[in-house]
Amino acid sequence: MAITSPPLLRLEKVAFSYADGAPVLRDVSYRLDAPRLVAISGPNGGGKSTLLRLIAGLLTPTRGDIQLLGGSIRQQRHRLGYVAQYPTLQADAPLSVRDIVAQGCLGARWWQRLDQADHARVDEALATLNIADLQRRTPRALSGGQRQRMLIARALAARPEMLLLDEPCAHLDHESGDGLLTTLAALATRLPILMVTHDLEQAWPHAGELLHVDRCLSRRSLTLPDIHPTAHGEAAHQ
Amino acid sequence: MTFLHALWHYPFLQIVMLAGLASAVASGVVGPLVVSRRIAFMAGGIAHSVLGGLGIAHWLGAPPLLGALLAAVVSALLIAFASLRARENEDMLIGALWAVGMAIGIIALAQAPGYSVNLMSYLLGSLMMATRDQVVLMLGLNALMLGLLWLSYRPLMATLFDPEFAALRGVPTGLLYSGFLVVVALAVVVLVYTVGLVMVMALVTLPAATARLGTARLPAMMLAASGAAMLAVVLGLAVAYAGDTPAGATIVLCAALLYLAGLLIRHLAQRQRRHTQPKGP
Repeated sequence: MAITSPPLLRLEKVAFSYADGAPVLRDVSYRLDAPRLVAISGPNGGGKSTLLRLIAGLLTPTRGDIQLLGGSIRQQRHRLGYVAQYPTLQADAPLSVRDIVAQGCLGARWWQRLDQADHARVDEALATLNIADLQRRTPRALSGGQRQRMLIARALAARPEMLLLDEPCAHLDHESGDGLLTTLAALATRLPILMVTHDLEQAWPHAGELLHVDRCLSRRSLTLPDIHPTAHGEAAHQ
Repeated sequence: MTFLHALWHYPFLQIVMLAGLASAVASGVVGPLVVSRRIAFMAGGIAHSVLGGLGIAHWLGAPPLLGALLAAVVSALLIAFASLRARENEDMLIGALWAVGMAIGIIALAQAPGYSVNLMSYLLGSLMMATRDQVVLMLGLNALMLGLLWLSYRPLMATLFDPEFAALRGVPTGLLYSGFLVVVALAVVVLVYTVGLVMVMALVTLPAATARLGTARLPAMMLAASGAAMLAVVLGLAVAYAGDTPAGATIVLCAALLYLAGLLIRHLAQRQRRHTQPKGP
């Protein structure tokens, strides 16, 4: 008898409006079954970032249901890593890159000191994002791209089972953005990543799936089976 | 008699020096956090509200230190509440605590005997009248401050510099932020005894600003700020002894001169670096 595992992410007729009643998203359904880099694009104000914040549990849908890693958002949000478009980290925080990445190890045992396993997680996250050589610097001494890598490394140090990134390349030049997307694409072979981007042209060579959000959600016809033959996401709402 | 001779011979001067050094540790540990987190205005509000507690304690005949501690901690918790729950009213509340605390203190001290002496000693500090008991208490407050910071260092740093991320990771940011402001309040009380509440802000910010000229990392900044504050205390006491000037104000001026010297050294070092760098083609 075949055992079917629950989807990594399932959105069922999700709608969202802010307090003034203007609808931001309506009737969004989507299912993600396997790890890949999912690029979410769309016009400004189309609801891309709102969709990501709904999945992160920072907003609550006004209608519909979101299932994450086989459970509700409330149960599972600690298994997510989220990096916002406008990071809330103070730009001149007097901490080293390593200290900041180690903040990812804060969790249920937030009051405990770092143990060996935590240090190993921090080392792994720094190495994955290619910033191990920057770990003694402070954020003030980093470029925009290096700072973005540091924030993603911090999210990775939490050992997330899904990563949500809002415009990770927004403040980077094309070369730095490409480098970061290459790293993310490699990471996405084992970790599902949902990434909001305004630059589809830059994202598409790296993405395993492209979604378009403009109040509703649709799967882009522009898929790349030659580059990403395993892409097989499905979008219910067209 | 030189200052060093006097320090060797007079136990009261040794007590004064110990009290000054205890203040330097409080300033060096809390100052970099206050300066980096840009909450000097909050620390100022807490410092000036202390006068209200001191005045009421005098009026009631209670130990002044108890009044100072209570006023500082209550102010810190009120500011933390405004900061977390009613951010739009935060500045207004700090301003109100600042002025109302001073007003209550002045009125209460006016009702108590010895009004002018007490008021001036609290406004400008009374380091030269430090007692052994005060030093023990200052060291105890320092130990409490250091212990609280050591225990909560990692989650506190996340709370101070990225509260949204810390909250997402399950850290009780409201509790930690309130606890941090209580630590600032303890430091303020220690410093009020040394330089007076008018000049507390100088000892909170100047050694930290001097340290920031040389390092951008917090642990090193705390060590350097403590060193700068200790140097300001030793130089300030020596100058005050030789020139018969008020000790608190002289220490503050020494801290300011150290900051200016730090700026000059950094400027010269940067110029030297520019000159020694190889020129491009």
